[in-house]
Amino acid sequence: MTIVEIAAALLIGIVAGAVSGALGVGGGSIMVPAMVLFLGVDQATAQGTSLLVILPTAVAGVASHFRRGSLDFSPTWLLGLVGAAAAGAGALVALRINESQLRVFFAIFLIVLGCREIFFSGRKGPEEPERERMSDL
Amino acid sequence: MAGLTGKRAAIAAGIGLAAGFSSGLLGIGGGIIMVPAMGAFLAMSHRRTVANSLFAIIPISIAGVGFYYFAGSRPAVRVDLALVLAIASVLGAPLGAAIVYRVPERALRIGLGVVALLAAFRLLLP
Repeated sequence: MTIVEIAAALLIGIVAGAVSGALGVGGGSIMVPAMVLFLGVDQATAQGTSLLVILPTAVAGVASHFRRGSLDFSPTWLLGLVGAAAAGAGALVALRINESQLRVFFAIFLIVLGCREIFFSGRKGPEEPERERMSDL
Repeated sequence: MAGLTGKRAAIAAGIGLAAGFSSGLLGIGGGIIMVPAMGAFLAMSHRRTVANSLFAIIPISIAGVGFYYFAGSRPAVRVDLALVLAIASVLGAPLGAAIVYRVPERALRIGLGVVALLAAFRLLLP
């Protein structure tokens, strides 16, 4: 990686981490388009790279919850198993369609996310510490 | 699995299907779907949905990375880039916590929404 690429990636990562830490959203939603639009990475590779960043973040998050007392994960074993299989299917689709088609899918996701944040984020939720907001990666 | 009735199992599987597929298709974690869905359909408290969502993201993202790396004509994962991004996001998280302490959350969410719409627009340009 060039110095410029490293600097840009650092900035993208800091912003993604900050938004995720502040709002519980972000992570992949920010990293993927930033990689595509600012680092010239192709859409599929940006997505695969994003998942590799998300993985250790989730492990750290779970570890943090464990340390604060045991939590019941009983439905989530099944959810995770089905989810893993479905993720494989989703990845296969992403790898098979072309760049512009995949960008359209991601753009649709961003439009839904954007509208949700602009129009449906007004209600007050329960107070939660910032560490809880690693919900949406 | 204690307490996992047929109906709850079906719901959990359905949420997993939706979250997992969107994770693989888009390269996101899936928490955006899981957190509200677990709260609405599995009657989980917010704290539990966050913890369970993070827990489920682990197998989901492992599967996703595996397929992106091995299932295409060439690896669709930039490991070098992922390393820099991961280190940077660890640095960014406390920064975000500090910002949300000082700036109204609603304003931050509207800002994020606008940026997301702009990014969508840019992605749709030829």
